[in-house]
Amino acid sequence: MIYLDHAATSWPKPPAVLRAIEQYLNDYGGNPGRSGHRISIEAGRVVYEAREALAQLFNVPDPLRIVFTANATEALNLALYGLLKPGDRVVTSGIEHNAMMRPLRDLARRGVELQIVPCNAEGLLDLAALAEALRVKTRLVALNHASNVVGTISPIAQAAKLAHQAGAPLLLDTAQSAGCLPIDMPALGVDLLAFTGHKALCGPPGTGGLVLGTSFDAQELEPIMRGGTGSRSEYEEQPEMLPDKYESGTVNGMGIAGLGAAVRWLLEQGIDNVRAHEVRLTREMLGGLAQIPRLHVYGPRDAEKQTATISVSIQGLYVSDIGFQLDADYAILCRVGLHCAPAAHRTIGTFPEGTVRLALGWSNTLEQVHLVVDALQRISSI
Amino acid sequence: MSQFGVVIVATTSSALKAEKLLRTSGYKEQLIPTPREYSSDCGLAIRFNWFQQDEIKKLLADSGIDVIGIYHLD
Repeated sequence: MIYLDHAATSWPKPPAVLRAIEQYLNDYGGNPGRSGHRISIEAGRVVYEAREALAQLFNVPDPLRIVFTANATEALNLALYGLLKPGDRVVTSGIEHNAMMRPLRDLARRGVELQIVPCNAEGLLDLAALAEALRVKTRLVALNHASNVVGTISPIAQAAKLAHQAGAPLLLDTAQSAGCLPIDMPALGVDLLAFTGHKALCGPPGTGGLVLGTSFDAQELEPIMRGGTGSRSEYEEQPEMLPDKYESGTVNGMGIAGLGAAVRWLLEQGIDNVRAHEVRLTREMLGGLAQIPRLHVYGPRDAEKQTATISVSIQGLYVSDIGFQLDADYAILCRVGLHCAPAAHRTIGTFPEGTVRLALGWSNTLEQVHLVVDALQRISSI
Repeated sequence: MSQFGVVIVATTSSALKAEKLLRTSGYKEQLIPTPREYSSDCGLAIRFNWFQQDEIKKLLADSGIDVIGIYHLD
């Protein structure tokens, strides 16, 4: 079996992740941050250590600025609904996932002014158009770091500079980049960062978070949920301290234990090494795919300018048939269709048919890449 | 008065952060349920040897951890 759906979720998970989850449930699964007994404290410590690992990964000095959520979607919702008020203006791009686009469309219905800056057919953000859009007073610039459809890496450092010149913070959706691209929040100029735990970070599903950069004042962001935090229990108002302000209710302790182990594992491997491995696989795949007549590759077609996610179609074949054949005849698992990103597919010109998405990851090998290219060669020559 | 002092912080995350800081700096500390008479800001407090209060106060102040109070336990 060849797993090519890392952009949906990474598989398999590093063994350390499974061990950490098992250990959490077996040995110290008290309620983290609630009680004062040993297994509650130990659970709290595991959660805290996951914050530390993530703070190191994103180069944020204070681990308490890592706020855990169930996924990147919840983190984006927290950032968007917590920050934007009717009358505010928000600028985003034409390559966004629905995790960004649906909350923004809803906010637009509620009186937030939404401007979508176009991307070219390879999914690359038009910086001149962004600069133009930022001539009007803007509350937030919200962008994805890498496309979940074509892997295109957005020019974030330049976009952040433009946003900051206009007085707007930058919210970055790293669902497709955290764990496979180096992300230094202060160096990139990212003020708010949404991540998911279960993709390239190699953690379990049900984990994610919002990182508040040192540059961002938490006073500006309202929580979208309120409730018990284990702190200031005599008050019926939500506490202002981080991370409790945004973390009501018991966190996903076992998931976060797994995520912490995953991030420490990644830090040991080195993100640069993970990236180099994926660039090698992507380059090999792109080279092989280019030799197949009738097969079209979307996106940058340059391993350095994209993640290990590649979208293709074959002239005369439905993407659903290609996906079915890959699974049934070759045990190659990928995702076909629109990938929850209609805006991105409109941008690259594949709406509503969609594409076949070949999403490589840490567990893939060069040998697998060759088998996939051979399979697509055969499917396209029928 | 006992030999112990207690650091009261705002959140359990801060308590864990402070605990880690003290431990890695070589102090013998212990997370305990916060004694009721001080505050119920956070369910966890850090108990330490009172004779080290000066160094610990300085260490915590330099770290930026939001300490609510440091008290000598009865």
